[in-house]
Parts: sequence; C-alpha cells; structure tokens
Amino acid sequence: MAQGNNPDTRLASLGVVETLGLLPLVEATDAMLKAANIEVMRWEKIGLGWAVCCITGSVGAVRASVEAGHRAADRLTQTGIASDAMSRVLGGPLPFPALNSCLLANPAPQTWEWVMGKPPSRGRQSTGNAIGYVEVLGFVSAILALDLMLKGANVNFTGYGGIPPRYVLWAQGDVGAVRTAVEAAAAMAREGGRFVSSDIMARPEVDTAETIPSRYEIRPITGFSLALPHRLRLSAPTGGGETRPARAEKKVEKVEPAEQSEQTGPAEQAED
Amino acid sequence: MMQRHAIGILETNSWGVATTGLDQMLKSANVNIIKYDLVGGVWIAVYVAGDINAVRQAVDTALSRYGESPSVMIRGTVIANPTPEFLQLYDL
Repeated sequence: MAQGNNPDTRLASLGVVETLGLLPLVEATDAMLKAANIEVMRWEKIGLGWAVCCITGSVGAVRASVEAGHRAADRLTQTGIASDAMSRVLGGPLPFPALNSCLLANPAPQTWEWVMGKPPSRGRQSTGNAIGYVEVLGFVSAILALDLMLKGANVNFTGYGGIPPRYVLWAQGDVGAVRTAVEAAAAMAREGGRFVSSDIMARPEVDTAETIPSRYEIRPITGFSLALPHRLRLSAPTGGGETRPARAEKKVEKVEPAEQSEQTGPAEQAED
Repeated sequence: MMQRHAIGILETNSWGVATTGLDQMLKSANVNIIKYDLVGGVWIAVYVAGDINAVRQAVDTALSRYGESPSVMIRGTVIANPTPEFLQLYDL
C-alpha cells in the first residue's frame, strides 16, 4: 500500500476518524477505503482503547470518505446495546462522544508534520519566548486545536504531552501571539465540550521550560496484538521502515539545554 | 495464506467472553481464527476469517449468546470482501 508520506500539500486534505474501541474504526476504515480514492496515512491505537485513522487525498475524496466512515462507525457506537453497555462498563457516560471525525481541507504545514510523526520545523519565524498550552479531549480535537493555533497567530508548535485521549499542545512565540492562539483553540474546544485546561507563561523559568514534554510521534501506548500462531508484533505496520521516524530533538529555542533529548528518552518509556 | 473472503470481528470487554465467543464461532461455522487483538483499555478483539456466510453465521451465534448479558459489552461485525489495503492495515 502506498503510504502518504509525501502528500502534495497543494491538493492534499486531511481526514481523521477516532473511535473508542477498535470495532467502529474497523468498520470506518473499510468504508473509507471503499468509498473514495484515499490513502491511509496513519492508523494507531493511541491508548485507553481509543484508536485513530488519518487519511489523505483530494478534498472531495476525503470528504466523501470521512462521511462514509463516520456513518459506518456510527452504527456500532451510538445505537442499541453498544452505548448502554459502554456506559455501564465505564461506570458512567463518556466525557465526549465515542466517535469523532474531522476534515481539514488545507492543514498547516506543522499539522501535517505532527500527523506524519515528523518533528515540527520552524514555520514562520517567531522570536518570542512565551509558551502556552491548550489541553483537549480526543485526537480529533487536538488536530483541530493545533491547526487553529498555527493559523490564528504567529506561533510555533513545540510538542505535545498528556495522557491520550487527552492531549496537551504547546505553542511558543510572542506573548500576544501565544495568548491569541491558545484562547482561540480553547474557545473552539469549549464549544464542542472537549476543553480541559489552558494557560500561558509569559516568561517561563528555564527549569520549567525544560520539563515541557516534546513528543512528536503518535505512538501506540497500550495496545498490541497477539497474532496466532507465530507472530507477535507491535501495532499495525505503517509500511516501510522509513515511515516510523526516529525521535527528534526538542526544538524550543533559547531555553534548550543540549542534553534534553537524552533526558526525555527514558522518562517517556517509564511513563508509558 | 488462505483466501479471505470475509473477516469477522468480535469485540468485548472480557477475556472470558472473548475466549468462549471464539469457541462459539469456531464451532458454529467453518471459520478460522486469525488473531487476538488487545485494543487497550478494557477492549479485546478476536478476528476470524472464512466464507462470508460462515463468518456471518459465526458472529451472529456469538453475539446472540452474550447480547443479553447485563455486564458484558460485546459487539461484532463482518467485513465482506476486504480490500488489500484493509488487510495490510490490520495485519491480517
């Protein structure tokens, strides 16, 4: 299968479907692949039973595909015993719907880089030292919030943290730009009921800045598959070896100690 | 590799139900197990493959046995005629 690692960004749109449990996503990916000419860019179990599928293609194809996938998955998440039993199993109603999808017709370059697991490049040059974050529920909300932050103000995306399906997205730049970006993303997340928290630090202490997580890869956290009879493999393969890039170094500038990348490696392993 | 006309998937929140559901599926129709899949959280999925009618019969049998249980979450689906991309995506 051709992987969309080098999408033509003039034509490529991004579609994301996120479900709680694997089965709705199975239905969705089947419907999406059959509905239109799209490529699956990433497919991951992000943790705690949530799974996401990112597709790319032309705007029309992605729109048709995401709609078909959402409809197909909806049958398994919203109706009948599934939703009743799910709330019983989880001990209450879900904090947000078990099925989310979005379509970004023209995502920002750093949004692409995040979805493709690449370290973010410095887009526009922003000189500010302020950092801020917005924490949202769900991968789809995280993608939308990130895209809004990047398009809404002159900020850089420096990495993400949090325990999926909660994502903490960090932005860096001038105080005003960071405030604008974070407030826009927080307002959007609040409207959908996916908001957790947000804040900005106008002038973070160097030691504080060092503790900010900088994970760029979307990696499987808890899921793995036990294949019978002889295969044991971590998550679904995403094609060739080059599609799983090595972890990149942190790029918060001016507050970056040289040994940061060595420090974050073991800590992440322990946390997972 | 055997030919896969259809894939049946059963997803539950219990190892016991996954195992007995798999047993039901294998006994009720001519299907083969492909793999268990630990989704994360509380979810476990079991994949079977075979002829479309056999897979549908197997999944229906497993669902009908546990569908009424108050404490078990179980759901199943049948993917008929999966595309090559789909099979590669799910490592089938």
